[in-house]
Amino acid sequence: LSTTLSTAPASHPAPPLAVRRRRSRRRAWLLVGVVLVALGVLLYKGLSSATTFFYTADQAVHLKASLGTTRFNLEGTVVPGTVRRDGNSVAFSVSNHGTIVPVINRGYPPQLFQPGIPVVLEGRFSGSTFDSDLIMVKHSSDYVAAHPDRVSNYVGKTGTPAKGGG
Amino acid sequence: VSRLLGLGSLIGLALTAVLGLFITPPDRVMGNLVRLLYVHPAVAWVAYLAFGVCALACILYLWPRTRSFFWDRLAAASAEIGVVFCALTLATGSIWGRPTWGVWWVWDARLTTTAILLALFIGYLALRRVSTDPTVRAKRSAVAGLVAFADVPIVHMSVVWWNTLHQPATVLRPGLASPTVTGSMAWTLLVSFVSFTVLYGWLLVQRYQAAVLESRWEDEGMQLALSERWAEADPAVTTIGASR
Repeated sequence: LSTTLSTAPASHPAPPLAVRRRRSRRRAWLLVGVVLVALGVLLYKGLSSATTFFYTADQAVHLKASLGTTRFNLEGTVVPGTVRRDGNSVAFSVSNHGTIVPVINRGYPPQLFQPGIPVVLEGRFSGSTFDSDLIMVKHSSDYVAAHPDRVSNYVGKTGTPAKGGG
Repeated sequence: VSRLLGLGSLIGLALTAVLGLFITPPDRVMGNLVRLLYVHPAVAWVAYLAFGVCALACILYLWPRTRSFFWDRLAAASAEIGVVFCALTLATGSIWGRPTWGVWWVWDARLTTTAILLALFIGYLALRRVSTDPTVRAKRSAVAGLVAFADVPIVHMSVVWWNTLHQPATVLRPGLASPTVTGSMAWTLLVSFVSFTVLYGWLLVQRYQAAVLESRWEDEGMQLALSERWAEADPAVTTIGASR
């Protein structure tokens, strides 16, 4: 249809309104489609980095050869009894699925940092230790009262308030 | 109904504040930081809800049998509230993230998809401002609203599908029967959800009524302008009549 119209002589009247409208509408939808595809590509590109936000400790050790000294995020639980503060840095180990990775972090850890808490560390491998400069605490979705038995502690076994309680 | 919703949300939010700040205990790990639990999830829930209502209204507008400007206005009103609450979600989440995670923002899947959601619905509102025929605008924005809503399930499932710094869902998840929140924290969380939902209802009614008034103002402005033009023409008509 379009070829017959384009080869038509100049004196030929313009295509009827309905045809023109249909064509402009088709063009508009094509534009919308292009925009959507572009958005989709951008989202895919952006999300593929966001979706691999971290490697767990066992994944990281498994991928160690390919990771080299590139920066990435490492996730693991702080192993109790390994935390040693040394001036401005803190050394500890994280574990995940039985794999333990020693870590040295430069800078102060956030306030919730403690043994047994899962953390995400930003940094790179340096030998077998992970050289990190940012600790992010990854807390769980569990919320439990700090002292669930504080009332019974306060009241005590005899039913009278314990001295200095509360 | 509007006054009842307003009063209800006021009481509910006051109750949430009292329970959240004074009655509930500090968390085992987070200490007093846990008190944002009674704000941030409920605000995020309202954003989901508002965008959900918007999407539903978009479908009902596009469905020929239920097509009416009621749905168009409702979708617009709900999306507007959703944008506000989505922005609040990002803000409160950021404030919560700084002391707990140690960072204001990370580009993990949950945070990134939520930022995209906000951008999508701001885009939806921008599209509505493109001046055109109301019917064209309604149809066009209904499609855009549905496209934007497609991100909501992605946001919600992002913590399950991918590795994120953000923890998995506490409330809207399978296995609601085995709560990860205990005692007074659990029902304070419930109170916060209910009162923020009532607040959403109140805001929606207000915004919808404002939208009705706006469109009436436009219509009557047009009528007024027309009658003024007629009034201008009147003397000419009468003088022509008189000269005869």
